[in-house]
Amino acid sequence: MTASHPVGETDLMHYVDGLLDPARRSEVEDFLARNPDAARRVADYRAQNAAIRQRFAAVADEPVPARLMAVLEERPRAAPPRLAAAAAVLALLLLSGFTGWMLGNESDDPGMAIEAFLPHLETEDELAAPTLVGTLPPVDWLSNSIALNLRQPDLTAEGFALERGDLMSVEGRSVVRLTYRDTQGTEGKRLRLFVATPRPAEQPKPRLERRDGMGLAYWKDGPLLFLLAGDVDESTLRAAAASIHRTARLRAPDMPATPVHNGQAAISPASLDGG
Amino acid sequence: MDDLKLLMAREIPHLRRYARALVGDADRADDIVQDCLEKALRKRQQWRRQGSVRHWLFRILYRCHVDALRSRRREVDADEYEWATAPAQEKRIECHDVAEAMAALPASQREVLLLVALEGMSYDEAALVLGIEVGTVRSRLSRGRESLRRSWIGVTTRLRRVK
Repeated sequence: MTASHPVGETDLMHYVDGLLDPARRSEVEDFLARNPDAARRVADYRAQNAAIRQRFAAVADEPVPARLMAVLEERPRAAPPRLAAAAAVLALLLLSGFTGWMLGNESDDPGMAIEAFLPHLETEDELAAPTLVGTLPPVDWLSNSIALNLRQPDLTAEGFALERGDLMSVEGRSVVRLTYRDTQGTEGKRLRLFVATPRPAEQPKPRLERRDGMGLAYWKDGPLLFLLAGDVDESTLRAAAASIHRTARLRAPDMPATPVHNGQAAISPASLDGG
Repeated sequence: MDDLKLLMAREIPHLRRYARALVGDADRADDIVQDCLEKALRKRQQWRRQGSVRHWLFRILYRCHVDALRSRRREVDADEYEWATAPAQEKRIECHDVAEAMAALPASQREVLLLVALEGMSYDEAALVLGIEVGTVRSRLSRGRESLRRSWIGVTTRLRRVK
């Protein structure tokens, strides 16, 4: 905007609403000094603004009603709070063959029916059928079904927070689906973890791959099959998978709350980082 | 509470204020805000594409307001409907309370004026929230302000009349 640019109606409006830069503002003020009619009108508009603000200011200072805060504080419907607090983790399984990630592509035999899970990566609630569970959260249900306690994987350190948990049916088998949301970036990226019991033929080797822009990591962990998927880069996926592998270890039901150090059960986190 | 929820919580006072100024009644206004927050959480993966959390929430709030108005209009009788929607420009009314004068404005002008005057939004931002052209924002703002000038007996107007 140059100094010779004539002052128009839009300038006056912007002036009223404090939307002008200092240079243009002083030009408009010069104009108003020479045009009393416009100056009166502008003064009226500014008085309106001030009155409107003053009239409704108190609303913003009122305490927020509890019912509104409750909307934000509501826990993800199916997320099991008590498992998150599980203190003791007893590693029951020695995971052999988990020495590193293979990078795979679609043509390789993944050793499990990946395709069955793909439709459930992007969908929201409509495919999730939180039946069967009764009062049990999905992870508890799965724990019961394999008679071992499963600890809900915590991805806080990787910057993801659990958003919801669903128990759903994928091609006739019950699958726990946990949805995590990125808490660091502004994009709200999502990771989805599927946990199921493997079928006899399913013996996947730990693997990372990318399909349709979606990063996939999957592995078998004792009596459970894990598939982690998300539109994230490889290092994020790898770190999250390693963390899940580390923290989702199984603990025996009703074991004392003291960590048991058992050489057999020790799984080195480092074993996940290779490959 | 995650990051998005914290950002949303910070906007609640603004959302409540705008809703209250739009509809007048405190409970009805909070109903709209609650509806807005619930919708926003359900559609949370959308917000990154809409720019700031604030504009995104105000857009949702505005749509909730329009929806609420629509279902309410089905309930109210014809008289009230006329009263609620009659354009104010033709009437010679004088109000001492600016809120009263605002309530007499056509809704389309009130919505814009409140976003700009009360919530301090630029015209571009108001256009985004209401889903209209920025030129429309300007013209509604102009007309609303001129109507208010006639109907609201504010400080400057009174001074001028005394002269």
